[in-house]
Amino acid sequence: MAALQTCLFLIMFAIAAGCGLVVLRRAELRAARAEVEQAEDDLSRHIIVHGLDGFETDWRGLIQNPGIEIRLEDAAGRSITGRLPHVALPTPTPHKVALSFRMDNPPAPGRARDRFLAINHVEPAGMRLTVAENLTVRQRQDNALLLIVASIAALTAALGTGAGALVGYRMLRRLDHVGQAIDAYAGGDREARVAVSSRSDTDLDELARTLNQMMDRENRLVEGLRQVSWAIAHDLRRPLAHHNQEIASALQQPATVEGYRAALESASKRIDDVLQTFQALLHIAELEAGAPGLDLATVDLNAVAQRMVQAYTPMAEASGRSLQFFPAHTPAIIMAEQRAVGRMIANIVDNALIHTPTETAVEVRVDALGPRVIVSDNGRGVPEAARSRLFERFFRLDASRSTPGTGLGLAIAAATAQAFGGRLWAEDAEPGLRVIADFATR
Amino acid sequence: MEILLVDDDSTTLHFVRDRLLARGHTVETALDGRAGLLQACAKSFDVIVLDRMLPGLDGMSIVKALRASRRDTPIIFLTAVGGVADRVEGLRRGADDYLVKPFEMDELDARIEALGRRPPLTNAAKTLSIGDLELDRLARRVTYGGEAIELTLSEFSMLEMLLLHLGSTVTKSMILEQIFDMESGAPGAIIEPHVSRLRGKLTRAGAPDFIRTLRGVGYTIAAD
Repeated sequence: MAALQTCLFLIMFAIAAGCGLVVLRRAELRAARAEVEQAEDDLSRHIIVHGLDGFETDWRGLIQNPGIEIRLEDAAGRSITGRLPHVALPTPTPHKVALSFRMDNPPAPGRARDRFLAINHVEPAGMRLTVAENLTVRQRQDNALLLIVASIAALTAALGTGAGALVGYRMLRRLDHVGQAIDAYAGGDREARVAVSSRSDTDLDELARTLNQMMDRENRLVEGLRQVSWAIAHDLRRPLAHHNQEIASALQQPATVEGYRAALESASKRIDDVLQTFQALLHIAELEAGAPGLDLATVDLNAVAQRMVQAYTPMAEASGRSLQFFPAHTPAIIMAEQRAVGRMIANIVDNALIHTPTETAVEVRVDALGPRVIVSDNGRGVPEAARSRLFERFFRLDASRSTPGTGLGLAIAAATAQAFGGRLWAEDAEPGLRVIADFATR
Repeated sequence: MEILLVDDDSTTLHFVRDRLLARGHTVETALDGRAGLLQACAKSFDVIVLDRMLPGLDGMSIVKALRASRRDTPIIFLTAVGGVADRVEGLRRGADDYLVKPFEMDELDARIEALGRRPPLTNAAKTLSIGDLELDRLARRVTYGGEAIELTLSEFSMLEMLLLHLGSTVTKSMILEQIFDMESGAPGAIIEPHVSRLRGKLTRAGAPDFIRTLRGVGYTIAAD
């Protein structure tokens, strides 16, 4: 392909150079004719005004172009001065005639004779003056120029072809790698990635980065799906299994209305729990589907957080913990759905109150800069490795397995924050845990 | 009460109908949207329970049509699980209450009672009372035998809600939604401490323990 392109380039260059040479030659011919005419005018004027006095020796001083040669001959055709040979003129002989002829200048064995452009003009007393310019000199200059230009073009073409082939080869090699990585990924290798050059930043690097991001996102989704499927199977199997055991054991007992009622009530409670879990999962899915379906309005985080703190304070105090509220000094406005934001804060506060020891101090702080809501406690905290997993569906620390809850509260909170353009993360409060819902404009 | 029940899920429809009949209500049913709208227009009901997704004509269109024809029968809207957008749109189009499926039958009972028995004047009444307990809605003051009882805003609102629904059940979800402006799926354990504080303050002022807990459902103050 590159060779074909190079050939095409050379052919086009040759055509362009040929056309250029023809145009150049024509222009030079016109220029030579004008110069010859000018010289003939000057010399003729001198002969008419001054006669032949000193002409033989001084004629070169009368013209500007040193490449001009002349021949002045008398009416019988005998040379008076000049190096040009006698030129046979057509008959009847015109007053003025343009001529083209070849002659040796200087004579050189084995070389073509030079070409001259001439004008022959009648002078006083039947003399004829031939003024000529050597065109071959100009042609030699042109040929030398053409050779230089052609050499430069050939060199450029060679370098361009070489560089193009190199770049093309490297590009093809990288595209091959991209194809291989995609094939490997499609074939099930979830770790396959496209190599990104650290030294360059080309469109191909950009493409590689985008593909890698896509694969990362795909992996996260697949991992999320896998984790959720596993968690659903695990978390829902337990209550359903218990439910089944209770029914089986009720059926084995002597048939009494009270026995059946107790078993049914217990089973109903367990099914309620399962339904609540499904409801929470669907709620997360709805939030993750995005905000378009949600009714967005301006929400002041100060007001919502305050209401949630008021709602939770009696529960916190009844359980031996404290709950304090620190509002922002200015309104902390976001575009969201008020009740959903309320539930987000409620879930974070609920989590802090349920999973901390008694006498823990929990505080809810609103920061207008962000804006963000920060819920921190001075409890046992969460190990760093587990902190980022707090917002996964069904994730529970081993220490929290006995506490009530579906393990979906913080996942709902995270999905809510995300639905309204924010994000939720946890950090060490030294001691304790700090959960931050950040709605900073990104 | 005369209740119109519109739901295309016949299992739910029969279950709810039987429960409502058992409670002494008169119930008419419709399995699709068009039949539901025709029945709702043909007769005056005390409450309409309307599913969101219906064949023929969806619940949202029925609410809109009824409100456009100036029929102000209270409507309880049943929305799909977690249908936040549905809930908001339903209320905006004129539904009076909503309930997320799957729902507890006690919850639906309480909401039907609350809507159907809502006498128009009660909401406008300045004071609510039971025995010597009086609640002044404008001054936001509660007295027992003339002695003022200090209540927090949420305790006051809860007592007001219970007195407005005297003799009926106020469910935890209703309290969450109307007092704390929280979704019905939010943790309901936060309500009990508020009620215990309210009870404590009332009994310390000498009032009898009016508030009855209906386990797992909600609270009520008996009319007598």
